[in-house]
Amino acid sequence: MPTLSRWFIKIGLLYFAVGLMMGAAVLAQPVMGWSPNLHLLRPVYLHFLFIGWVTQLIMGVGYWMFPKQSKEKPRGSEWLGWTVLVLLNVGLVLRAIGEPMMVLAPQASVRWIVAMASMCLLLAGWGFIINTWGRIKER
Amino acid sequence: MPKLSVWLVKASLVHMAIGFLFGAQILHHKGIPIYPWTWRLLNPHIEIMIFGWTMQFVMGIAFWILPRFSGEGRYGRTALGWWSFGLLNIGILFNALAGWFTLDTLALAGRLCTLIAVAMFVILVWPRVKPLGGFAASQSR
Repeated sequence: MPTLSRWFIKIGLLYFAVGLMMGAAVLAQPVMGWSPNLHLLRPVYLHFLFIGWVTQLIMGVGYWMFPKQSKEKPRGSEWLGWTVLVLLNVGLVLRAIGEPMMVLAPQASVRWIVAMASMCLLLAGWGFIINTWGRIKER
Repeated sequence: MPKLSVWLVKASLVHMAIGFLFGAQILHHKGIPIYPWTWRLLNPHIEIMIFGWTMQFVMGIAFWILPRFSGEGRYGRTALGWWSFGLLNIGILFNALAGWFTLDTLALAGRLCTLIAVAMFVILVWPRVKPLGGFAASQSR
């Protein structure tokens, strides 16, 4: 398995664990009487599970297993692959910080964090598609 | 990779591109507002990401990876797969438009298309969930 795939999958596993814990905390909040602010984590945990875990796992396994693009570049651009990994995870972490902060301490800097997160995630998604498109082919 | 998988996976990547665009616009709008209509993208975003991207991608990979039959028609009744592909994407389009325009009838029609597409796909791949080779392989059409 290529190094980049291992990074995608292992980071994805972390999001899986953290996302489930956040989800459990949100569900447990009314029962346990914890702070209602925990519900600010709802969009964060959903995206941790759906983007951080499922999509990132697909990215890692896809980079590893899809048909080879060519002899010279079997897995497309490795540089773009690493860029996608960094952008996706920077985007998710910025979102996890910025989205709850938007409610708790809405300042201009926090607004920019959320906007930056959106750009990182968009570029990561599109970067993956660009790097993968040529590998989806009949053998 | 068989042709049907190529189409399913490439279509899922197109949905991913659109789903990420809608999601990024919504997230950006939360921080720095762009257009007042941005929140109307939420339901299409969810529909496209769940059914268009993830579910369609999994269908494409399953059709490619699951054990095949021997001889002719080794992927099973492929025509069912093409109907499933078409209906799934029509269903997603209907549901995305229904989410945008808030049209319940179109949403129902879209969900019915998706349901039939999934049922066809289940019928297609069910016999391929089997041990490699052996008796099941000899039952191929």
